[in-house]
Amino acid sequence: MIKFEKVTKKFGKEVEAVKNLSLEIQESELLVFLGTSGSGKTTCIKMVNRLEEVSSGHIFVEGKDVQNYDPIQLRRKIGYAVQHIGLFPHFTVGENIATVPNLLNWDKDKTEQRVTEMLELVELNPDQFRNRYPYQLSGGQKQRIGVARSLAADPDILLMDEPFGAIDPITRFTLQDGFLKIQKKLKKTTLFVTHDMFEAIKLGDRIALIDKGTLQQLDKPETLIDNPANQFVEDFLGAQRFQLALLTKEIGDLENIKNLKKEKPEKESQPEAKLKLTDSLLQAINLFKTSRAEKIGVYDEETLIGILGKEKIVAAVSQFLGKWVGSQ
Amino acid sequence: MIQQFFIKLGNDIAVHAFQHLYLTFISLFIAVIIAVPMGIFLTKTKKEKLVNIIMNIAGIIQTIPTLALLALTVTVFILINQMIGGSDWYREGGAIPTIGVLPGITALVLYSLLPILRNTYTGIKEVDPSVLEVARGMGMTQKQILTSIELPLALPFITAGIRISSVWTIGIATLCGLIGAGGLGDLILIGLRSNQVDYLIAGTLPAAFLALIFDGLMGGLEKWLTPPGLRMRKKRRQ
Repeated sequence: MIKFEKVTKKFGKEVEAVKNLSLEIQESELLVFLGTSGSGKTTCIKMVNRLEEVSSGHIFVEGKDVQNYDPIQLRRKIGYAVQHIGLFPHFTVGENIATVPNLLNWDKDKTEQRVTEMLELVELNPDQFRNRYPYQLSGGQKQRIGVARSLAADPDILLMDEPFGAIDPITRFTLQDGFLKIQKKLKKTTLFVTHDMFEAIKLGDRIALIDKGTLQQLDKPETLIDNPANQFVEDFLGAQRFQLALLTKEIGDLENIKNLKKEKPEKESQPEAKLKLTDSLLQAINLFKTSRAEKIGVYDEETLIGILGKEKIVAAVSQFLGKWVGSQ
Repeated sequence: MIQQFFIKLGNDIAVHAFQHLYLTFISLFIAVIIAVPMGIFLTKTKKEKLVNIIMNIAGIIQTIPTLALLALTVTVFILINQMIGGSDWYREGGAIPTIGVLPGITALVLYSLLPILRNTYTGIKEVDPSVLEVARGMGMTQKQILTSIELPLALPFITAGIRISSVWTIGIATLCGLIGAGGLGDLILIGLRSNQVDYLIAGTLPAAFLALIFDGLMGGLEKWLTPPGLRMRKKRRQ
């Protein structure tokens, strides 16, 4: 879908922001560019919609070199959202979302319809929000509108540059969950830039860890954590590596949770706190902590398959920790 | 007494106020036509030096005392005539009139350039860079960015510049009486030369009124032209 081939980007004569980068993004894949600030990750995605031009090498979008696209047409078929959101302050929410459809001269009814759909998608009430102005929105709402705007013309490709960067952690988690839900539904080919490891692991199908313009490792989140390719990757994960590992483990994969399925759940005592089989071990721990519950219901989609006690999760974590220490 | 005043001077006031407005409107109109596009151009050019030079020139013009600027304009016009018409320059029917409306308007235009130029420039430069980046990233052309993002957001600034210029121009236009351009300055000069207070008043009060009315009207226009998405934000800040 998108292919980087020996891409190098120089600013001036000296500074090499991106060095000889080659990688490929599959259709419907969410690839995270992870790195510290100044690592060249933002430059990577800006070269895709030609906000920056490659110095050498090629980037192919749908098999065609971006140099052969008209940049204006190219940008209109690629969704774009950034950290500072950049909502147009003199446009209403509806007009903001309709930006690209309007550039593409969609007819009015179709555009209005699309705005409604987009607002519903990001879980904001269309009637309530359509005619508001950006200054009337909270930070989290602005970010949602930013995402809605980038999706409005139904692009096949999304470029997201720390779209949830500038907000508080709690809102950020909600937005990440919301975005995952959207991504599951729409399956856009997405290039997502972040410096936040947790965000990268939570959202990414694969993670490209970049430092000083060079690709350090490109792997699935769990592989990145279990088998760091080099010293830099290890240092980058650092002290949080164990926590990150807990984030990559789904509770459905744990031994003693598999047994849980065999037990018949008692119908009368359905706990209020709920987890899905695909939720991570870290989420389970956090849920026990925040809800102060002794038992949590585990669900496979909508059906309750068992009750998870606190002692089981503690056992699972210590077992995991044991393996972890052994494997190090 | 007031009645007598108006019987005696009403006609004069009307005629001269009309001339005064005429001078002001024409000058402002020309100044806007020059300064707004130039301001836009300066935000787009990559030559920082050029921006500085032009801003400085406009600034220097502003520091020249009004009287001196009028005198200079007349002098420069004479010099131009000399160059065009050789030694016959002082004869009637020189290539350009060296006194009257033309040099008057020229001086007024020069004077009103800076606020409009500066406000257009800053108004556009003030637009949030992330807004521009996203606009570009979503596939707006440079022209679309200018017309649908930059200019609407800069419009309140530009109007504020025109407002400042208009108030100045009305004040300065009274001096244009000195070089025979007409306007309410004429009445003040008559009053001064012949020691008639009623003429002084007939020139001064309407000029002050006009300035106030212009200020109010332009203030209203400024508010009206402020996009609603920005209007509330301003209120909140206060």
